[in-house]
Amino acid sequence: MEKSNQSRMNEILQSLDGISRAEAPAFLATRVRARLQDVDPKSLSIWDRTGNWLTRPGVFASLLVVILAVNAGLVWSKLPAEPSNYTVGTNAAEEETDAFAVSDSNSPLLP
Amino acid sequence: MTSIDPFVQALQQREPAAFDRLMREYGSMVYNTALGFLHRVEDAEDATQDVFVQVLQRIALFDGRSSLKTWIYRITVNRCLDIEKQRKRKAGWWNWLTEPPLEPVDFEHPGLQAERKEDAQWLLAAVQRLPERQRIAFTLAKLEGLSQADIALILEVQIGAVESLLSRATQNLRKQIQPYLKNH
Repeated sequence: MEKSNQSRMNEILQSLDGISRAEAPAFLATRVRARLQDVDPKSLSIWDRTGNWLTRPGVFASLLVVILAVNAGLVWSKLPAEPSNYTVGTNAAEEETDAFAVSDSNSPLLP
Repeated sequence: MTSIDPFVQALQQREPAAFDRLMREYGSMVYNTALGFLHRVEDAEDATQDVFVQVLQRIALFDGRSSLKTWIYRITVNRCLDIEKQRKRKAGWWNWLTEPPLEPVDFEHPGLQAERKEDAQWLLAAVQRLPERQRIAFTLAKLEGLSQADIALILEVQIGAVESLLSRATQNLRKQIQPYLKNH
């Protein structure tokens, strides 16, 4: 029994002996060539390279900040130069708040 | 100072004929090795493409200290081990902690003899569980038929170390397969 177990074990351990090599898949060279063109920047046109550069996160974020800053600058430069009426309005609102404060302190509901 | 093989020089200069020769001479070698490690046709095909892309991208750095064949084997083995690590990460942490019982692999190597297929599936399953260097040595010896001297060059160790790795691999395989012999 022990001997047959040993011989079975040896059969399993030798089961890969004499195995023949698997053939490379068809069109391997074509696929590798295509992969190389995808990763080789020299094989891309100037437009593809520019597009790739512009879509890099760092470049894209920097450009976005620049565009927003230019727009903000333009909007700021178009604002009217005379003083705004909002100052008066703010003072009125403050006075109103004060009036309420006095009113609250004299409220009959308070002890 | 090592002299560079003219074929390598042609590859470095991106000559189309050299590319064709590379694919012709090393395509099956890389694919068969990848299949031996990964046991999945799709993964082996992807790995083979990855290896050749890496070889062609790094060929300018190849200094001829080892043979081109040894260098390509190293890239292949490393790529296969990376793919396996990715697979294990995807499988989740639970698989790291628990070891399921040994089952024959669901994969038939196309070069196997029909009458040995079942035994080989058990053996390949057990090989998957060997420590990394034992596994590399055993797979290269059995599936690629490499000599201990060639494996020593790939692993950058002495021949005696390869002999020891193969001997320990066989002992470990016996231990792994023994409990299942009684049931099957």
